[in-house]
Amino acid sequence: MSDYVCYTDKKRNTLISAAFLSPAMVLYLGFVILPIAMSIYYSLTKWSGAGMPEFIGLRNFQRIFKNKDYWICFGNTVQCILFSLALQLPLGLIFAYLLSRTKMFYRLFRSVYFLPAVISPTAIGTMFLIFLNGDFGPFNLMLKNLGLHSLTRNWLSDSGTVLYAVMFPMIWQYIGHYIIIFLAGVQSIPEDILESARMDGANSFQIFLKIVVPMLKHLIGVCVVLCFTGSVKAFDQAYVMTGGGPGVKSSYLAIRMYERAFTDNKLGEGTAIAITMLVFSLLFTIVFNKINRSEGLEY
Amino acid sequence: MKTVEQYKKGVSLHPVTALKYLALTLAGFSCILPFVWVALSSVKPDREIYSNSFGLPKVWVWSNYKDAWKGAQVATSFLNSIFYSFTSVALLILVAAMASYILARVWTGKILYNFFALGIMIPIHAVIIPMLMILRRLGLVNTRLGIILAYTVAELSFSIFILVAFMKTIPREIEEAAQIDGSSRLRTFFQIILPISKPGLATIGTFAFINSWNDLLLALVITSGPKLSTLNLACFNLRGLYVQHYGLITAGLMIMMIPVIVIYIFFQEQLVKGITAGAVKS
Repeated sequence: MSDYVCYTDKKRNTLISAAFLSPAMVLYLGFVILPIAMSIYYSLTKWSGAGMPEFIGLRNFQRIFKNKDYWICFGNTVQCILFSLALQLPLGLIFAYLLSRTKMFYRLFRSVYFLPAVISPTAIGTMFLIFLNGDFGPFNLMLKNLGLHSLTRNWLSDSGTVLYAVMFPMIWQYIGHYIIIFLAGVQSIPEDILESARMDGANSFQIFLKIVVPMLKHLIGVCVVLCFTGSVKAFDQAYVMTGGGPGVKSSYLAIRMYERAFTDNKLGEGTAIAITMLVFSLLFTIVFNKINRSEGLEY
Repeated sequence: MKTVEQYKKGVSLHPVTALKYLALTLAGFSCILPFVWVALSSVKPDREIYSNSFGLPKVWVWSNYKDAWKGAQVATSFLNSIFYSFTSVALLILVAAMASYILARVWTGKILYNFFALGIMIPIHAVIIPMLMILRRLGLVNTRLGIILAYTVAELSFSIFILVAFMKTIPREIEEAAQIDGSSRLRTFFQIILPISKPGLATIGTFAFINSWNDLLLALVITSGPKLSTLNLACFNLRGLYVQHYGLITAGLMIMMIPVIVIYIFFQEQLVKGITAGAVKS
């Protein structure tokens, strides 16, 4: 505890401390902790937002899990997670490494890579809505200019491409986020380790695979969790670009939750979907951290 | 070894080095060209966006900005977004700093700290429906205060997490000296702790500004109608309103992106620090 000798009136100090803490505490309890408890209750009720929620036990969950659309959204979210993990992390790590070996234009490159991540996902979604437009979009135009006529299509209404068309902007946007995190990691590796490896004749590629990646194992683990929980929440870009359509072809769990709760006024079912998302994230985080820690590398 | 010497002298003719710069540059272009396209299109007439998609504008039309500003409540939304972002940042800084000071100095137990830090793990989606119900009960749905509180709460845990770590690095001697001089805790906090914590406050402030400026979901749920609309909502409507008027849409996008890019240019270092600290410590 505090070892303040100068404050004589202990009671007064406790009061002041409580007063300092209370605004944050009230906001946190009222808008984060209480809502979690309420979520659990709402998910067990049938409720349209007006009147009283009617308790129906686990029937919301039964209904969700029986619905094919939920599982399509679930599958889309899983794909989003997998593609994010497979693209954002390796690219982030590779470019962080390249950048850490660079002196010329270092800050310029870093600023440029991170730029998309600070822009609103709504703006990014709107941008790609234009880029991928079948008739006027510059993406098709570019393909035509490159002589790839056969590849052009209406990316956002073709049911085979629409999911990837809404997924790509999000993945592209946040690669820079991982570059920044990994950059700090790479720079924390002691220079003499890299230098001595180089003296031993290791080339940059070997140093990356044999030294950088193993030494950043913990940080990579953190990023896997960040990337996973971030992708479970995917909403904005897809919602702006297609609203999840056609049907639920490009819909994620977060969009499904929003639509059920606020468009269809099924707040109980919407909350139940939100809870499955939360459980999904927490389970992954816990299991992954267990595995990651149990085989943790000492150095 | 020749390559090592070359590295040291900064001679960059080595093919591997050239290849590295090529990769870095290509990646850089892939990050920035989409924005350049939007910027150029925002000053082109619509037909030129279709016919001269990649070139510089032959005719520069600034009227796109004027028309976008007038349409789709962009002007009102712009002012609203500025107001929401700055007010929630100010409120967040005050509330988070006061709590962090106590958590860093007085009640330093792990339980209370972990209790607040737990919120970082909870995505806003998981609590948004009950949060809306609580706001409704308090009569704060579709009010400025409601949206400001929501933005503040969304950043609270992360901010406390960053600030507690920062405040723990402030040497105790500074405060003790002030107390010996008879400064009350309230005065010590406002006149000594807050000014010293500026770098930490700048980090959380930058994050909170960008996140509230960029929010769509909370505004979508909490506000309705044009009066309280945010820029993201306006942008969302813009694309339906001006279906093929790419000149107007891109001008609207620029209006929305420029403030955040300005903030980014000035507060980049704070952002980088915040992200790094957040990732390394979690």
